Amino acid sequence: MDKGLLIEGVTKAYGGKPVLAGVDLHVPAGQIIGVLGVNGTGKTTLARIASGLLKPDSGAVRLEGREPSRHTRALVGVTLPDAGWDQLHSAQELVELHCRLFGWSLHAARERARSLLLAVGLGPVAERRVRTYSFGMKRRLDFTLATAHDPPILVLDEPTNGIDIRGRETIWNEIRRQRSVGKAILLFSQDMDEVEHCADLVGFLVTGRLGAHQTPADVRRLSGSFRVRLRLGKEGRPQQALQVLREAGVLAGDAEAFVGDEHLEITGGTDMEAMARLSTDAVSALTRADHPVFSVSIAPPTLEQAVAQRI
Amino acid sequence: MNSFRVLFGRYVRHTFRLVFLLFFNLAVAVFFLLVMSGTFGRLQGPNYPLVMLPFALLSAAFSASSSVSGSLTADFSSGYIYRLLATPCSIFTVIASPLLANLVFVTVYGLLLTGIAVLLAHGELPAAGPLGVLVCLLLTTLWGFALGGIGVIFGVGGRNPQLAQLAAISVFYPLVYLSPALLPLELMAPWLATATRLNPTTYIVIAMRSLLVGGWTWGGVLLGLGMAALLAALSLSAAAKAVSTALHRGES
Repeated sequence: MDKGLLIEGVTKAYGGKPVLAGVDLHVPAGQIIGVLGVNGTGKTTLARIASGLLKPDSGAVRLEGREPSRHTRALVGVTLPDAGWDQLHSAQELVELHCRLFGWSLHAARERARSLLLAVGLGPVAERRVRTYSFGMKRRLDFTLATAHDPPILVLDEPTNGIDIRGRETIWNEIRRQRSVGKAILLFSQDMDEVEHCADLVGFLVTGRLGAHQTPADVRRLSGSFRVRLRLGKEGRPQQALQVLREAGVLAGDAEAFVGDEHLEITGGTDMEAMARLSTDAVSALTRADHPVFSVSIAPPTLEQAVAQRI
Repeated sequence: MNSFRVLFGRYVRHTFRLVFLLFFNLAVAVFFLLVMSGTFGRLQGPNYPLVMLPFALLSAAFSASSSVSGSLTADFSSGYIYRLLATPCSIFTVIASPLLANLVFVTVYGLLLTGIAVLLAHGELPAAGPLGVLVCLLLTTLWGFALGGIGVIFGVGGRNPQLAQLAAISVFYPLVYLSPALLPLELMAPWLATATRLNPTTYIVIAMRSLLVGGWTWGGVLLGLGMAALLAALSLSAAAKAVSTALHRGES
């Protein structure tokens, strides 16, 4: 139980307004625990408390079994999405500075900075001052700093928010690599895809409390329905089309259909493959009955839907 | 100690990258020294540039320290301070290292200004010799250190680097003009002299002037050093407390 990160009964309020209302969490070594939550639910506050940067009003945090203090900072690396930068220094200099503050020699810090910046795709721009960096580049640098001193615990607060698809893949691969070498990782996110790609277990932070952990697949399954949208065009007759689907037996089980001006929307399925089959069947039935379908889209449950299911 | 050394280096590097600041910090003090010596030098005697040197030194220390407190407040308001505090640095180190890095600049400015004052005084050297000049620079640095701390307190309170500089300006003028930096105590109106005696800067200026034009008057020098050290210590503790309070309120 000593390895990894342990949070027990943590509460925090700002100006009398409670933000965290008793959070319990254990992140063992070699695991990624995801915490999902929409804006303003206390993710960043919990990240700062988990990393020892902020004291909770009550409750306890243990980093590898130790109470957070200045002397345990080498045990944890944290991304700080809201924190700014020294704009007059380069990424190479800032990562070097960070490592040296942890007692690394100048030579070791220089080499470490070089290899890490290369790994997150910042190698070619490492010597440029940070003020010239885009938002996404700064986020990659933020991730680099969190991992720079090789801590056994990582607290990652929305590490890929604002990064392009390729950059996200790079960071996700790096997060999984960190797990494979035994790091305990607490991953805060607003992105269901992110936790699905990275986390072993996921909890929802809603109204200051952290719900029970589930696997990412269960989160998807229990987070509301996929939506299939069939666009029929201006000449389409949605009411008649709905009748066709009912008569063809396409709308079975929990599926419900809603009629729009030029489209039909079907909800109810929680399994992506079943919803894909349903959309194929619906298009076939409508085409046979002379109701042309112009386009089909399938949308997964959103984080808002998932949170709504848990309130 | 490691954190202190690394952050000290960072602020020295940071300041060197703002070359225009280095220039303006010195230019105002040099300008003052030249104009005052040119205006009153003939009336007051050949060592007048050395008499005015304390004001020029305090002016340079003020400019340098307000730059430093501005940088520190910028670290706070941008949130970069959280990145530093995620390392083994203490709040004390984060605040003290730039204020002490300022020592490098104030020392260089002080040496340049002393050189210029000696030239303007037709080669007359400071009365207490090279060691006296060093003590004079120490007094200047400690005073600048205190002023920088005050800038941090206001800048962090208002979460605004400009406020740090404005606060330093509002403190600088009363501290320096209510001191014998421009006019000896005995020539002041009685009420002004009384107010001046309540100002700790007065004793720092008296110590500096004695080292530059009088010689080693131990009582005055020790009183000046004591006042400067006390101001610096109070200011640093108050700045550390202000930053710590603001961080715990989550104000960054």
